[in-house]
Amino acid sequence: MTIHKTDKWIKDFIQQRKQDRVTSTSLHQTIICEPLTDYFHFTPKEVIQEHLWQHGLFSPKISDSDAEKWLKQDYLTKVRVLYHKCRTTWNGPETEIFILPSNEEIKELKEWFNSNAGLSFPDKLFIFLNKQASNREIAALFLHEYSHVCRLNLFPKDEVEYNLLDAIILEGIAEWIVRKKVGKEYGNKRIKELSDNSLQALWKKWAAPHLGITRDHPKHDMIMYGGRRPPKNTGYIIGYNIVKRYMKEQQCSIRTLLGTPNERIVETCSFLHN
Amino acid sequence: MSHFDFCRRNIGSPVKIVTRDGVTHRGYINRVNRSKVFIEPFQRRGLGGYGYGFFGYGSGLGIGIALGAIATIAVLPFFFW
Repeated sequence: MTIHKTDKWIKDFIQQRKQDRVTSTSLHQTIICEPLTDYFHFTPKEVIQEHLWQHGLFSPKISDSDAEKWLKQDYLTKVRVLYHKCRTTWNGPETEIFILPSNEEIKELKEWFNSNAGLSFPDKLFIFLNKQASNREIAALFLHEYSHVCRLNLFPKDEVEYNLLDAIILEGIAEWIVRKKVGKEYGNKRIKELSDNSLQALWKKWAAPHLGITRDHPKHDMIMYGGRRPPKNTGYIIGYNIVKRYMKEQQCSIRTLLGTPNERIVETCSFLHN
Repeated sequence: MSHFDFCRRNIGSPVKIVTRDGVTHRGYINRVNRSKVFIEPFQRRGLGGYGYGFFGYGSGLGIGIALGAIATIAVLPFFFW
């Protein structure tokens, strides 16, 4: 199975919640998160729930009408078409896909990502969509996440060894693909086009000294997601601007780009090391 | 400045808090009320994956520290974690 029948999970959740509203959090755990335990090495359902919540999964408080509006969109069919197209064109791997509603109550997610979010692993991906996502929004989110799955599958190392440079280039590639294929106005809204000087300054200050840190190091997420210092999504901004320069020079296919080593992409921007 | 005001102004920042019993806590300020500050440990990755960020929904408010128990609190500069 590749695209899981998550629409049925949502229907079951809404149906059963009508009978007992008090236990909506545990229903959410049982109906939405328990089927996922097989794909997370049998991690407890409450740990999966917490993790997916932090990445934008809908809350147990979602209203019946919002859930019904979401179901009417038939997102599963739309994603299926995109998946087959990308898989063929990029020669991508088969993967497990879970499409679920997003949490539209989270202000930051709404303001910056229009309440659409995703989460990708080498063997699975999650798509969290708002109740009225446009076809282009769905395409932007799916292309972003599936490009991660494709590239992660080609990484010659384990997940625990992924480092900051891997994340910067991974996100840079995903954002470049979204802008190229879906449109400049899609993707992470915090990403700006930078001059060589600005890119060099960001690279030297935030990326270069920390390229080898792995994902469990606290600075990894601060540089990728950011806060006050460094600014939000610094890693994404650096990555996008490097990949953009690389693709301007190389003009290769997305399929080739997805398999290009980090170092080769960074080499294009020789000014970074001046 | 009171601990409450300090925490309120620095929500989202990485801090080091030493409580009166000598225990050191490090993390991001998640939220604060008149009696407690909640900090989220730096290691947040949990189950991994590549997403758009952490949006903080859920029961995980982090560790609650009573404001009255705080001896010192300081924002950690990025290069001194």
